[in-house]
Amino acid sequence: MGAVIILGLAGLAVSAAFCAAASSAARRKLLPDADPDLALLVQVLLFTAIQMLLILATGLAGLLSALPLTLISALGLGLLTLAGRKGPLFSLSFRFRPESPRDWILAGAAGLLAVSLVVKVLVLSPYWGDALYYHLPNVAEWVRAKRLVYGFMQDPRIWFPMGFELVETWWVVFPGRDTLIEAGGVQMLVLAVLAVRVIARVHDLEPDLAGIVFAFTPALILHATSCGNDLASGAMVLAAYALIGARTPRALQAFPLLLGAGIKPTAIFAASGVLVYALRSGPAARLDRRAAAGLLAAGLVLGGFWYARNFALRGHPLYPVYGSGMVSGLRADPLENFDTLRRTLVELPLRLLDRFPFSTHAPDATSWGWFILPWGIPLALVAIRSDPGFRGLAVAFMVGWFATIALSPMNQLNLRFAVWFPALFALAAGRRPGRLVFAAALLASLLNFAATLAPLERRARERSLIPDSFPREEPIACLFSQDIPSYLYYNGDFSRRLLYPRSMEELKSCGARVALIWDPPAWAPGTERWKHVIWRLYEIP
Amino acid sequence: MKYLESAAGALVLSLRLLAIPLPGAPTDWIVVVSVFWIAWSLAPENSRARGLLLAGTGLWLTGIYAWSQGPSTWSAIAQF
Repeated sequence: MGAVIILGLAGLAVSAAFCAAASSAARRKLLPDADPDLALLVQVLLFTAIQMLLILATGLAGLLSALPLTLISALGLGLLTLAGRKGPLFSLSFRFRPESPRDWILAGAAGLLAVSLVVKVLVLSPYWGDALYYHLPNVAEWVRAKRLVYGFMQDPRIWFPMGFELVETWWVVFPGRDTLIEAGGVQMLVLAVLAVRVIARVHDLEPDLAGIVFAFTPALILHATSCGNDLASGAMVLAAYALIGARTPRALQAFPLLLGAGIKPTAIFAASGVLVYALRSGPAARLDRRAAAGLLAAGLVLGGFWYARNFALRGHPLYPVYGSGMVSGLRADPLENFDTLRRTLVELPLRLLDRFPFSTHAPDATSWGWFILPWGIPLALVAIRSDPGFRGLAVAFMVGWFATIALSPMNQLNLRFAVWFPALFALAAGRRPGRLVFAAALLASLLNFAATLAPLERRARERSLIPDSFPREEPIACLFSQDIPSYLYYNGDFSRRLLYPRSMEELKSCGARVALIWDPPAWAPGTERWKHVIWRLYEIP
Repeated sequence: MKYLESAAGALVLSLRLLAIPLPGAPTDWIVVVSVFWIAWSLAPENSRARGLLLAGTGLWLTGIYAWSQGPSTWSAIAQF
């Protein structure tokens, strides 16, 4: 077993080397003279896209397992080595040259956060609601089936775009277990922070402080290890702002938004603000047609695959929000949903006070932390008043935020759909910060960090686990009427088979002896009389 | 121009004061930010007064935020 994991990790390293080399080569082709921050941003963005393409292609071909992926990656790496014999395989011009005590302090803070995130990736297991209900069950079923599978359970939300789940699958398919699954979210945090740094440079702000303030926002820290897709979608939105600000070619500017569309439609809503920013920005750099076409084609495949799948299999690209025959509260009707925006604005003053512990869902709160309200808002107002460039950025952010909130369903949790928005206040902190702002930012970041070291929502996981005394690999039929945190029952190595029957006939013929009754569906009356095994598990009569 | 800007702040302040009980005004962050905006607009450019205003507002708002979030942060740190 240990040898299998070590071989899997070796495969992961080979695939990571391939993705890094390919993204580096593509970046040199697209932006040969980019400054270090921009180069790194584009490379991480392309790295992510290549990961997604690898998993999508092997998932469609039925080759979604460690060996084929390692071989494909090794082949790709070999070809890149042959093609680039005269140049370096990887080129990363990011240099760390602290010149003042402030630089060292910020570097120390970044290091502290990085170490904590690595520890969290290794220690935490997925714990957050939506991820357990309908995001990660896709990852588990794909890895178990060694291909992409669809519609395996009744919860219609499994038909949502699953672009970020491709990245998460890349992190788990090689070792064959989910130890590194949170690394996908950390990767998205890195992408988002790099985007903030590039935006800061474009607007003549201090990138180090802006990046640190943003990275230490509690909502961001918590989303990074939650396995949810809001941070991934937000990172793509921020990357689009950064690429527009840096005046990269238009095809490259559109690329993160296409990826974002394949992650979560909230990225499409936020694109309205990005468009406003693009209209105000200067002319974009030129790119030859073949490179632009290749970039757009890759973006369209990754962004459009899920909509095309839903159209082909369910008759509507936006299934299950549209085309499912049921009235969905998720429908994005600008007129009907205008009340969403109004109510959010009415509640926002109170939510900004964060009266509850920081959490990923942040119900009736923002989880924006100790800096944004006390310092970020006054600093942003000052910047908007006196800096036309920052004013344009703020207008674009506001348009995107309004659109995202107005087009998303109203609930107490909707600020996470625009988790990218606090970047505006972090950027305001980077506008010629004095010693006081620097000290306040640092102290606030440390408080945010300390308050999020142990994510609150992880406690819910323990209450939903099957007792250890139950056989670890015994197949289970899941019975539920709305949703179920079924990812917890696959085991960390995806060794348990889960079945999702939709009728008594399917239940009796599914092959499982035991049913997990989460909340009894209407088609299974009298479950309370079934023979009880343990916890919520019952013998199937 | 600076009077127009401060008038915008005064408008927000007036509307907010109509919506909340007056004794609660010093602990309402919108009131504090409105007062900050008015004072900032009227203060001379690049003056020491502006620095003091920002510092005072930041510390005051930190106090307001600490009143609501402080116990949760302390609890999270203590439990860890």
